[in-house]
Amino acid sequence: MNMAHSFRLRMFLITALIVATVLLAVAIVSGSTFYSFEVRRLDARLCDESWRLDQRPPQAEQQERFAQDVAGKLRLQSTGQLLMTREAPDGRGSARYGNWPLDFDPGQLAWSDSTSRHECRLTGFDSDGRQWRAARITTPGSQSVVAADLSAIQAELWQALQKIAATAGPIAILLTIIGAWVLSGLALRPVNRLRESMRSVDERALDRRLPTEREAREFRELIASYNGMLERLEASFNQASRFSADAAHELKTPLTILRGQLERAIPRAATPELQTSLAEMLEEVGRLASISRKLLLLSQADAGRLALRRVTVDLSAMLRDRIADARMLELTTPISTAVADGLRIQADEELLGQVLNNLLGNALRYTPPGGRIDIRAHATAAGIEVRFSNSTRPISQADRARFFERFYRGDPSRNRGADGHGLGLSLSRVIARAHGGDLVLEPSAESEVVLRLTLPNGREAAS
Amino acid sequence: MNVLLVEDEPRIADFVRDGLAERGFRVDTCGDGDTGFERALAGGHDVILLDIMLPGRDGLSVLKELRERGVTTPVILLTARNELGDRVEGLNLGADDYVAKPFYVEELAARIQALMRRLSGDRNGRLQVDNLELDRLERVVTCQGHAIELTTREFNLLEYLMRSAGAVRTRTQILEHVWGYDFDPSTNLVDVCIQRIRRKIATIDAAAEGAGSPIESVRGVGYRFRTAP
Repeated sequence: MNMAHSFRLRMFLITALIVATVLLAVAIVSGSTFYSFEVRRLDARLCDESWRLDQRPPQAEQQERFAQDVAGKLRLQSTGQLLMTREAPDGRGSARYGNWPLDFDPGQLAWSDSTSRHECRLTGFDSDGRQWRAARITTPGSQSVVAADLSAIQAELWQALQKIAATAGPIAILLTIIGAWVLSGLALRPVNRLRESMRSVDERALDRRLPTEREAREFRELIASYNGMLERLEASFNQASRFSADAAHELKTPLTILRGQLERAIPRAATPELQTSLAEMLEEVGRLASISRKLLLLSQADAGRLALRRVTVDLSAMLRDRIADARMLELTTPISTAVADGLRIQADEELLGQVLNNLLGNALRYTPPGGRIDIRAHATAAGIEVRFSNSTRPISQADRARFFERFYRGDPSRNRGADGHGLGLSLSRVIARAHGGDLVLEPSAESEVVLRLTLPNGREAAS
Repeated sequence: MNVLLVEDEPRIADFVRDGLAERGFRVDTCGDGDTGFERALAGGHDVILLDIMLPGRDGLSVLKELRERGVTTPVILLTARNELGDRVEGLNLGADDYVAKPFYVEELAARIQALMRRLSGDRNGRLQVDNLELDRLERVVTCQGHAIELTTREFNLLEYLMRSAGAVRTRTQILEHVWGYDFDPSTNLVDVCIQRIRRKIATIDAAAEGAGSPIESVRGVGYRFRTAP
């Protein structure tokens, strides 16, 4: 199977892609929700700590301890991630902690509106290549700002994500792959079942319909259209088959009358000229009768109703008689034969005789001067195999492909005999098939035709 | 010999009746299944020629009911529609033979005679024309008491011409009768076969050499077995 055109593979890839995208989106959304939640928690704590700084500013010597305490409350890894400042116009209680940028001026930043918590205002800013979050408390006598490095919670988030990815990731990928594979298989199961059912329908079983009850609604519609198509096909097939059967039948009455009248008129003809032309007419009527008989047989075979009257037939004797006929013609074409004795099968003698007549007749007719004919027949495990090969003018592959086509003439200029209807081979093949055997054109050199007729032993053949 | 012909197509019935009458049969015709059934039931016929497609009751059901009622008059089916299927069914229902349309009246007459011979247990299947004698059962041909070695085909061809001695047979008729359907090796097999039979006869009867041969060529038509002048 070509992977690029595998529907299942495509289904699988699409499913996997969708699942992966959904998982990724979930991860991103939950990550950012978690982050903003963390930021809001930090904001609240920043406000608390700013308030504490503003209300109870530490003494200069207690500043370091105060900073450590604040860092701990804010869940910072170190005091290096903390900035604090308290300004009072009277200078009492002013403090500054941390590596503040030199030009830092709280008034320059865009602060949020006052929050409910201690009327605190919040903002974010960049400094020293780091992102900071700051809270500001303004009272009539002072102003305090506490800022924390956001990389602290970013790192926390990142660690959490890594942990999730390390544990849940492989499981998610595995589940995605398995799920997608199973899903694609599941989606294809009704199609596979349908394919099996469709395979069982051929031109002989056009009356078969696929059951719809067990299928899902979408497939029921598909099956219904398939069944509808079969119905139309069967109708037109039956019509075509009935048409040629009816046509052949309708021709029989006038042909019988013509033949009877001519048969009676010939001995009564007044002149030899008239007699000759009446005889020619009789020959043409014979030709017409032969064509209509073949059309009738073909249409019966097409409809799967070719009735066989099976008797035990000695195929070896039938072949020998015909080979004797061919030798009687004393043609220059050498005929080599290897026909095993006692090849007996259950077959319709008249129809099988017609097949052998057709095959040998063709070989004799189409072998050019200097060519040769070879006929061999032997028993096989399954039945009997007869092989006719003869030299021929070169026949192209295109012509070979159309060998069994009805009314097809490989070479119109040469095909003018009484059998030149282009139906003989086609009919031979349907007769072989009605016996459960086959007639096939074997691959061979361009200037050779090899036809292999196989016939099964017993009655197990379909007919 | 009395023949009941049940055939609905009047033009076919006409020429069959005329053709058989010329060959010495007495032909009683009717055109539908029900009448045919009644006449057959009434009896008095040596053979019934029964068309399958008939108005009213069809040929096969006429045959079936006749056999069920114990009527054993031999029946030859004239088949057309669904040729092979009816043929098989007909023979299973108790028909003695069948002739497929389109047929030659000559062929039909020969079938009737063959059937009669078979049923009457006639062990004497001899045909004699002039000094040539053909034994169908032994499958030997003798000329002035000397046997002529013939192949199966040659024998069948000679038998075909001898049994309708005096009548012309076309090459296609001969080919189809002796070789069956669809044998057409372009070179004229019939001519070759006739030449061989003529030669074989001439080796025994010197008078049959050349123009004296009992098998006569009819230019542009075919062949005829010469009857005694």
